[in-house]
Amino acid sequence: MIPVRCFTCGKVISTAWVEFKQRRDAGEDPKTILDDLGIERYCCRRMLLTHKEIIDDLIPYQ
Amino acid sequence: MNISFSRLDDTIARFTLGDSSPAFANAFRRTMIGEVPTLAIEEVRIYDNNSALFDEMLAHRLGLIPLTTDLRTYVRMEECSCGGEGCPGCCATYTLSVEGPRTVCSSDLIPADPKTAPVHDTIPIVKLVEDQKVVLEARAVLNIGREHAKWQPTLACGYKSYPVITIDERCDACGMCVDECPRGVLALGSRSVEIVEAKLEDCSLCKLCEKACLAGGIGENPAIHINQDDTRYLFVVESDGSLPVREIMEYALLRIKKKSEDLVDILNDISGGTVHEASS
Amino acid sequence: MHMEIKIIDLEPKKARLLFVGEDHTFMNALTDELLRDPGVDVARYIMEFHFSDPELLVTTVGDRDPLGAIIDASRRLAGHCDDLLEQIAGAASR
Repeated sequence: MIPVRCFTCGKVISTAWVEFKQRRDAGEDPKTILDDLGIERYCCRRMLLTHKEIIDDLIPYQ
Repeated sequence: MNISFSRLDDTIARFTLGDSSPAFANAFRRTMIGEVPTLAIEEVRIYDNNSALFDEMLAHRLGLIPLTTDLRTYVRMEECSCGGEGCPGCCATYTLSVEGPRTVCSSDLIPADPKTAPVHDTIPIVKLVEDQKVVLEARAVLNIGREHAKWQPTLACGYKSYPVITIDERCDACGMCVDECPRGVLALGSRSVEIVEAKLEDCSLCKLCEKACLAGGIGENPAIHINQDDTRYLFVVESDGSLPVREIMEYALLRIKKKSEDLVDILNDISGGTVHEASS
Repeated sequence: MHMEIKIIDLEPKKARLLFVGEDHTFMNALTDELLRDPGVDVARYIMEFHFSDPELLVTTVGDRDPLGAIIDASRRLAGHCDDLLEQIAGAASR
């Protein structure tokens, strides 16, 4: 799951994940998506850029 | 000491603190980050959790959700009349009960007191599939950022000294510093380099312009000097939404004031005592 | 929350106080304010470890009373806060 907040500054970035993922998968440039979503600082931007969702692989295990 | 805002709304404030000192600016910053209390989930009672996340990860994620805080209603646990046991005066309780398949969101967290609802409704907590279930009860308490970052009311909270840029008469308007400046503070004037209007506050004091000037072969000293004004500070304070920025600032100042006044009272008691001793 | 202070040493021109539960946030502002007093010679605090309580040392010149100097310095700090609070209230009502 996407971390709730940015590790560095503490801004809540998880609210942007669903939209970010959708638009990125649709082929949009991550830069414009992040600018659109109001994620300004590079600490917050890397949270979304470098995230790999693995929850679906973990679901069989509890 | 004076303060002038260039921006002030609920989530962000930009202001200049004038006629101040590095020590006071830093005390103000540290107090805003570390000593202004907010609500955050501290205790979670998990009744059912067969999701892919461990109980402790779930609790950690819940703890990081910012909650709307009303400092007039809630007091810190150790100061509460209940003596730290937990009562509606110092704790906010929540319930959460979700069955898959769907993603658990912060809006599924039902507060007992609607004033303490989560700031954001769409924070994903955990993804559930068929037959997975999360049922829990959570308790949020008031505490300060010094204890744990989840109680920090601020995001970006910092300051820089006010930049002072001086360009002396040796400047020949070669434009090398203009190209070098990453913030676009400088522009080429008719006879020398000039500061772009309203851009001065953007200067990050990186001094790349000084280096560029030296690289132009001007000699030992550059023709442009970047200095900082140690009495003026440019602040940025951003709130995570639990408290409006203005309240964070006011609370922080009241904290510093209270400490100072406490100290005055204590020392007055003590020195009153020694004066008495000396005279007797 | 109340401030707790322990006096380690108190002489006419020198005071050493232990501030229980304080940290750099308040101590640094206080020593800086103390040093603005021309009657104060040394104002310095020491925290032996990150988690230990700061110990303030104040020495004075002339016939300045060290505790009096600390009282004046904290009054000035409180005054600064009042100034700013007033201005914030003014700026927000506009």
